[in-house]
Amino acid sequence: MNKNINFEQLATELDELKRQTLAQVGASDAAYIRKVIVWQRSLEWGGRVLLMLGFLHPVWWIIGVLSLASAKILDNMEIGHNVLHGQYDWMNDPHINSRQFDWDIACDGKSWQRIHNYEHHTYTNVIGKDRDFGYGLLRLSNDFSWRLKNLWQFITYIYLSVLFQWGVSYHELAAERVFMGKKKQGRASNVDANELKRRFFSKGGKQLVKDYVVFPLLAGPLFLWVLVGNLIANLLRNLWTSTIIFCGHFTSDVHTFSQAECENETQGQWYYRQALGSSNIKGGKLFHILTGHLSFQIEHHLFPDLPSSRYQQVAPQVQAILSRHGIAYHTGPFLRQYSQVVKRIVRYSFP
Amino acid sequence: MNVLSRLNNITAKTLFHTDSIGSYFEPIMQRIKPAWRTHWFRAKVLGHELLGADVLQLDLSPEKAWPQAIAGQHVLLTVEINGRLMTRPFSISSAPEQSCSQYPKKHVIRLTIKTHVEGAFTAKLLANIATGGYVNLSAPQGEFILSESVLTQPSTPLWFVAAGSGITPFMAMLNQLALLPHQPQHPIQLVYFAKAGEHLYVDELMALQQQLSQFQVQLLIRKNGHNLTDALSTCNVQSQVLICGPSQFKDDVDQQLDVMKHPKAQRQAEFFQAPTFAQTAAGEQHVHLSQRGQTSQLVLAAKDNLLSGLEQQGISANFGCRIGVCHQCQCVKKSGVVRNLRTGELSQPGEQLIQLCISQAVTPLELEL
Repeated sequence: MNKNINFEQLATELDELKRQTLAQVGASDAAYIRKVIVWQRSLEWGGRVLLMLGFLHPVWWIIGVLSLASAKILDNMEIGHNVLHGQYDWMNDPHINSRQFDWDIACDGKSWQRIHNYEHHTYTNVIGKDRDFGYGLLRLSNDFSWRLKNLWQFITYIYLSVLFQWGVSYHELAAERVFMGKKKQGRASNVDANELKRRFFSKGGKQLVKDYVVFPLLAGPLFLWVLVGNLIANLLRNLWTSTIIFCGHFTSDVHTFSQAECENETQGQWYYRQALGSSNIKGGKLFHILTGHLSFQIEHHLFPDLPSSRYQQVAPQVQAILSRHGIAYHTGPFLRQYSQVVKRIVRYSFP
Repeated sequence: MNVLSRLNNITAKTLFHTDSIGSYFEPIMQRIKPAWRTHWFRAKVLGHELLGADVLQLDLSPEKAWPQAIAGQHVLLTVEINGRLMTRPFSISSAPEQSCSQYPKKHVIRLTIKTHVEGAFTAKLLANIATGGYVNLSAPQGEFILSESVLTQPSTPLWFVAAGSGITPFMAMLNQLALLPHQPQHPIQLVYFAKAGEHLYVDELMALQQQLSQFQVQLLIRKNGHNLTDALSTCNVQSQVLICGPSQFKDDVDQQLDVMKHPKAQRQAEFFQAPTFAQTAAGEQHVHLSQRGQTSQLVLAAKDNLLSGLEQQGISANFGCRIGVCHQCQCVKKSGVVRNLRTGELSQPGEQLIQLCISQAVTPLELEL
């Protein structure tokens, strides 16, 4: 950790910013998330209907696929990710909260809360603790020793992106070595392996039945149009979410940390690690919504409970605070950030 | 669970990822019908009136599906206050069949609400409701009602003993009695304590006294030397006594009736409590727990977080990180105050979501896992 930074002062300033912003959260934030949900529902059902109008003109089918894909993206990113974080729990809404909400993705929401909310957000980029750093599949820094399989890790990355929802779903089971491998020493599991399996198959199965059996059957003779449409919508969603998420932690300047560095970490040091372990993407308002405001990855990692509707507002203030303390704020346009990710995956394919 | 709701549940879980089809469409429905919610009934705000510096009367028109209340029952009123749904119980102060001259064609219920300047709910209520707007109601609930057996026994004298805003359920009962097709034969006594100038519905009570020949009102003020001993002096052992007011008042009435050898079986009480922060002598707190339809009463060490406390009692709750980050141990607190161990803040007393691992019981709690 950098010794020249006044971590105490940093913590005070960021805590104060969080406090002030949370105090403003209210009716407009509740209205915002409900509006996004209405959009999501409209795009989903608009899309599902249009998929069946493909026989009139294929362009309807194409719009339907895009519409359904956008609905899935909104559901997973702006709604699911943020609601499951508990960002909107203060609303006391019986459905829009981290306890009740589940999303349109193969991953069981509860499993994701354990791995993502806790492991990833608490131990962000701590090698050996945060399995999101490379997902146990990719070598993204010299912290890991090189192995032969890293040579073709770019292809592994493509596979992961294409099947991203299944990767997310399998994430906890892989960590717990449910199907194969030796159980990791010192890993305290809260959920029994059989329960993990049951939930994995139950949620995944429901998703398969929904998109590849029920809706195609409802379309009758247009069975294949709908099935293929759903498949492509899921694929587009997988590629989008994977791409955005990779840009959040795997750009060139993102730091990694050792477990020793993070022992007895203070709040200020925690903020420092979160800031340096994340990177933002510049873009317009719609782009930010479609990324679930993960384009404000730094702000999200500093304040994971702050409603996503506030990230755009706090970003300039966060940037100002970090720059006053001489801490880098990694951001850039999408293509620049993504090309850095690709370079990083390729670079660490080799020893 | 009947077949239909099972089907709804399975369809919703598979196609919509929600617990019911209604909850999937709720945000869309709300665009058409404001405040439409699957868990609650809707009621239109017809108007409000200030009955004094700190008493607010709300006139509400519940939707058709709302089950009719029995006089004396209360409802949970839910209002969106600055984006947050907040719920509090209030007695209904109008009789079920009572018509309202201002809104002749509507089914109206009246809630009489004591407001507190510092109250998180009552202080902000007026600013967050609008005439013509909507709020949510639970089904009417509560056992504080005139039972059939009492009503069919004309020789049983009825004693209504109220303090402050405890008058509300009695207004419902008295109006109901006045609406009966035949004059009730019961002698009815209302003993009503309040601060000077703060008795509510005095005109209405006087009018009721005209309508009900057997009904007598005693408007009493403690500061003026009125006391329970005198007020209850003619209450005999056959009387059915209903008490409503603060818990201390209820204790005082009980004590006086005990002295008079009035049988406990012939008393009903509804009382409200300012949240007391006292624990039991051993530093413990009572928790009423409902889990998968089963309920249990527990006593937990108040210094522990609720998750550890429950585990020590052999209750297994979902949990994850145990430091308030992952939201796995989220559960519904129906009532009571908890302290957030991360921020040190005290919660609201009403229904809300809490994380067990970072919550500590401050008052007796009602939890739903």
